[in-house]
Amino acid sequence: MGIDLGQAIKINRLKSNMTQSELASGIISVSYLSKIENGTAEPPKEVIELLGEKLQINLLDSEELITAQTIIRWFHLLLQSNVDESIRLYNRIKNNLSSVIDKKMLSLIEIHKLYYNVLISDMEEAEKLIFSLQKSSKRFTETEMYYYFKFVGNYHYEKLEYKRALDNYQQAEKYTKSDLFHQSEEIHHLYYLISSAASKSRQPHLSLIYSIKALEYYQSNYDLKKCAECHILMGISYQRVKDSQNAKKSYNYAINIADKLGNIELLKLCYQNIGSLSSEAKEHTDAIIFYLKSYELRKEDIIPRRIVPVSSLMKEYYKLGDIINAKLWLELGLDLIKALPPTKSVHIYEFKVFQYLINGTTGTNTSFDIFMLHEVLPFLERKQLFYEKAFYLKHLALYYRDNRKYKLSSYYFEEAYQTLEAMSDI
Amino acid sequence: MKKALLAFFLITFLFLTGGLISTASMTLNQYDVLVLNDEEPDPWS
Repeated sequence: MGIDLGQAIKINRLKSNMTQSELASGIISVSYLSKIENGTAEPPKEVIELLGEKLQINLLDSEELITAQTIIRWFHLLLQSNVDESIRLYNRIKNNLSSVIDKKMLSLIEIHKLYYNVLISDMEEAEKLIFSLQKSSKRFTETEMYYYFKFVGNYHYEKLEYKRALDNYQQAEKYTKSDLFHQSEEIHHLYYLISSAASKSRQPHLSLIYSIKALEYYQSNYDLKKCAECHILMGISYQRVKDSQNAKKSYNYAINIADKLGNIELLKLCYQNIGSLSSEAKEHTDAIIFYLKSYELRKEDIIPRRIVPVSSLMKEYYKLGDIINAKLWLELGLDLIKALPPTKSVHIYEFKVFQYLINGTTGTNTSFDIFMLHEVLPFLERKQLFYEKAFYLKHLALYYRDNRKYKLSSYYFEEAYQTLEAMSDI
Repeated sequence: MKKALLAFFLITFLFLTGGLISTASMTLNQYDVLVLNDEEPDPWS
């Protein structure tokens, strides 16, 4: 195995008879140089270049610089979902892959590449990797199995296939006793992912158990942002098991942290979820206020995020019988989803369904039932979004009822019931 | 007589179907608020 960057700097500094303060002078602090030499700090490219110039060597092109330590650092950046830094380090690793002698590391790099592609939204490449990794998975060690299942789970989560994501995370959980990098952080991150996927698959009890486990770890490590995210997940779960008091408490904890950190992303989520909680308590005015707050903070966001409060506001006004305002938010929603492929968000179908409910038309030549049967329901079935499927089945049943097709109506009501019933068996 | 019997069955059928549908609709309505309004944090944020 080659020597690492810190060692290379130290050896060349000593060769040039330089002290740490002489080399660091005018570039970085002595303590930072010391950290680099000890391998506890990863300096940016510019610093490496300047140190190399002073030592009269090219530190950047040296093929010997990729070591297990560099690779483990990349794994850690991925664990923290640090996109920019993980791209930078991956490019370094990729260009010097031939210097990695450790076969075990090569296999782990390949497995981590799966999540790397999910993180940079290259889903096509991620899919190809799953296919090739699947072939060699029989020879995987327990450590490799852990990462493989976790990252396959991440791939499915990103594709809105939450039930499949959850299944894979639970598979990964079986290997948490194997040797993992950053063991404790890694395991609790998996718990957090299990909680998220369970929440998305409408399994509030499971989500609650795992978010509490993750929260304990993040609290003891003072990771406030993650603590707030766990509180939000707990709030959603409490709300779904009809414990609105604890739900409110959890959201308030999250808001306090978001305020302290000045974290807008967390605030958006808090407002959105408190809006949902108020809506459930039939406090419609409060619900609208919170949804509006959530909307105001998202004006510069990407469309899939912007349409969440737009959809909630449309539905809230519709529920109140305020068709003028419902129409206003519907139009905005329909405008926003124009440039969005249907696979990007479940809200896209929601606007089309409400277009029918509010305007009495689907906006195309297709009738409402054909649109539901040919597009919406197969999409939800593919993604295993059963809760949402029950919701749309109900609207299809109501459509048939309004058109006096009672036999079809009762058939789809039964389907909706059965879908919900099957979910409670999960 | 036949007509009266037919009308009776038709009314009973409509009554039962209508009742069934409106009960199902009301029960399912309570789930609506939880559909797609709450939002989990992005796990890779």
